Amino acid sequence: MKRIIKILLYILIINPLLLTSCWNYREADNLTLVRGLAIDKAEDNNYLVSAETADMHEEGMEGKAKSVIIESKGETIFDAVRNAILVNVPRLYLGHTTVVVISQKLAQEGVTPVMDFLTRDHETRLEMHPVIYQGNEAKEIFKAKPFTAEIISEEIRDMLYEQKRISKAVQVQIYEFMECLASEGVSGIMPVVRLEEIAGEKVIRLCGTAVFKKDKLIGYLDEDETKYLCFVLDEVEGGVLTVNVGSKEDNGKITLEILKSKTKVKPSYKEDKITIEIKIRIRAVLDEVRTRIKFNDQKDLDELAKIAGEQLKGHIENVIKKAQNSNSDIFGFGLQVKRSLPKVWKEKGKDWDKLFRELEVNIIPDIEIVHTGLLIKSVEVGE
Amino acid sequence: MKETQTTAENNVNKSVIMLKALKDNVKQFKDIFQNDDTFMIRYFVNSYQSQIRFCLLYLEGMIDAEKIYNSIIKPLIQTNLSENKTTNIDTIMNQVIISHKVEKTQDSDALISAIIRGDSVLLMENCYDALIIASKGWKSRSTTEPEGEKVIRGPREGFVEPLMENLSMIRRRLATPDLKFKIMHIGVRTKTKLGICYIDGIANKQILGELLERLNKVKIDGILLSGSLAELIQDAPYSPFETIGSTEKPDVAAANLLEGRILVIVDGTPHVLVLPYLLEQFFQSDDDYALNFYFSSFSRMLRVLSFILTVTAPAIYVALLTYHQEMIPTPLLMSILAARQGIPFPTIVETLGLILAFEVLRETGIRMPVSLATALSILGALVLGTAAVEARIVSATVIIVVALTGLTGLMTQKLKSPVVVIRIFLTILAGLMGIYGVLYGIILVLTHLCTIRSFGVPYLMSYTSLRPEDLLDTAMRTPIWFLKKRPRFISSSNKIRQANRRGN
Repeated sequence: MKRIIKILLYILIINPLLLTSCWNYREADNLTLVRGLAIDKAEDNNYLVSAETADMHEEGMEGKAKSVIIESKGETIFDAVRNAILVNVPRLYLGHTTVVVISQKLAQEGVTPVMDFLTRDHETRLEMHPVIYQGNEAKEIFKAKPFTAEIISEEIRDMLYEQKRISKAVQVQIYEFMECLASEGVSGIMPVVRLEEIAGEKVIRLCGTAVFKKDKLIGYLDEDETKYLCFVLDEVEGGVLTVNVGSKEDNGKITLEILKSKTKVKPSYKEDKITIEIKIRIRAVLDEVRTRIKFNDQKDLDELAKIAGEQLKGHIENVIKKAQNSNSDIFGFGLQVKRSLPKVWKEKGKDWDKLFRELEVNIIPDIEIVHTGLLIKSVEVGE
Repeated sequence: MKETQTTAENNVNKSVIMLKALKDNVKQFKDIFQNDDTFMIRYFVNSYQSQIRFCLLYLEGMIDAEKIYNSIIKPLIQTNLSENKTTNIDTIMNQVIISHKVEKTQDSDALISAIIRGDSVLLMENCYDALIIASKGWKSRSTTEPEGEKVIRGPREGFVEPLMENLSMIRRRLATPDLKFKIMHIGVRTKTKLGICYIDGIANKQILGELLERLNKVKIDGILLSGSLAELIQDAPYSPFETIGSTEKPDVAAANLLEGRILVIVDGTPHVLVLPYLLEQFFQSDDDYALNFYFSSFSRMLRVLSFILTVTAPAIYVALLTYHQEMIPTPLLMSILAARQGIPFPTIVETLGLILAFEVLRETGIRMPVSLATALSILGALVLGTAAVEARIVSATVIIVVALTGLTGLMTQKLKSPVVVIRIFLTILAGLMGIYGVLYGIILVLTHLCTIRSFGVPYLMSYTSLRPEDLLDTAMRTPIWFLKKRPRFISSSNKIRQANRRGN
């Protein structure tokens, strides 16, 4: 009896060994390491996938990879990815892809097929950065000249990481965009890149945000608008806030550097009407003064903070207006209502598109200027 | 088993029946030691009474000639025996021989083994009895610092080969009558002397009983090394892990005795067996208790970490590189790929090959004369390292991984045998099934470790214990005043080893 139990136990232990699904032995050097994808739609309704791969053959031991672009066509995206084998011997390995550049044209038609492939495939990562290319064909992006990294996709990713110092672009990952697509009351956004010519060289430039309605690209926000969008989304980690001061002829400008920013969005329901209250608390430092006004004490600073708050409020209202005009809730106000006022959402959620257009938004900025930098007064020119 | 029994019988047949005539007795001994040219027979007579003939039997090389000359032959020849009318073996024993140990016997086995062990046997004309006179004397090496257990701060004395010297080293450290030495002989042919050493009242009687029982079951023609004895009596004999430890340092041995452990000292081996031996002891060093406890805890954790690393590093490398490329950070993967360009072998072959090459280097290093060390390091470092990488036979990353494995492996030298076995086992599993295989292997090893015991004490007792006091001296070394109790199960009833700091 004991013997039988023992044998059964052994079978139990050995069985799971044979029941796994991960039998996928592949030598790492038989893979082509893809760092970025650019997806276009060709004229014949096929997909054109350009993969930027890190090629280690030439540089060898130095470990510096060269960027090699492999283009291939297919009826579907995955078909195109696999068709790359016809061009290049080892198959494309998508496990280390960081950036997916989607052409403007494709995005206008809808990104669902792209997103489906990127989330369904077992190699692609959900933390990839989708980027919209403002221009003709997304593959053009790989013809740019990178400044720091050898590989353009890495350059784009680094740019997206770095922008948090200025908050002039949004950093979106595939899973975040997918969440926006799947949930009601919020629309997706993606950062936008385009090529720009500097000193005869084509370089990449981040230029604002792409606004989606459902899965279709419907418009863009420029860099500054993106910054105010970030204030609403509570994504501001740094950056500057310029304030116009004095009369118009003076054209005085004061620059505040944001140390910390916290935004709270609170929907409320009163008398059959939904209002959104946005409280923005900013701690900032005076960083650059282009005016004659002197700041002698805390009172002056508080006064300045008030002006800055008013101007910030105006800017944000403009962005919200723009979004309301294109009827795309990129701020996720609907989601906020759904979360904090579920009963109201149940009742009115169906007409959110209509409601959003006429939504009343109250912005309450609260700026605190902590100090005036290393100078107390503005620089004075002696008589 | 049958064979050893027959040899035992052969041995019994060779015995001496003491007769009256000196000539007959000598002839019997001659028969037993025939063809042994070191067997010496020395006849002599007393200078005052020439009819009293003596014969001294001994083995050359085993005796101290000085002792034989000064305490046996000289007094026997020069003493005036004629004054004493009743000269018999008792008067010789009591009045003539100047030796600290003399024994009168007719027992054949005792006489033969006395000669073998380096004592001399004195026969006398017209006498049925013989005298065994202590005359042992051979060269043994002086105590040196054990190579395998070097310390920064602590005694440098190490055990030597002769049993009695080792016992004295332990006795010098523990001045208590409770320290007990039990002498046994093992091996039908070798009759190797064993010393079982424990502190009465601290050592667990059940473990001692179990040990004696196991020792009594050993029927073998010879035991020459303590290691082979350990293999015969240890628990989980098929496990790569050793459940009986060994030490070359008397201070470590004494500390183990104070924890309630039992020592088995085998004559001829400087490695004293310590039991029960648990896994945590492989990570302890006597240095730990001499140096600051923060530092000791750090170096202990380092040892545990390096054990884990040395076992798993190549397996994880193989698994990541052949199954889970997405888990390697991109820049690292790119440099690994760059290093692997043009390497003809699959990763698993490359890794296993280099592990093997490292083991070859290590093995050569141990067996090789010291004078060739430079040649070895040139071959190892230059040929296997640099040249192999430059010729693109192996990649630089594998060399780094295997070098890390080897280096961390040297940190826990005593665990060498399980480490080598498990490392290769895990690496093969990694090549077959990736990280899943590695985890599977680790679970198997852990399960195995949880099931084995050393003389009834669980091998992982301190690591798996839920009692905080058991964890105080494991991966960390808490201050000595925290260690108030002896380890559980190992010591019997006397558990408190330290008074509270306030003295109560």
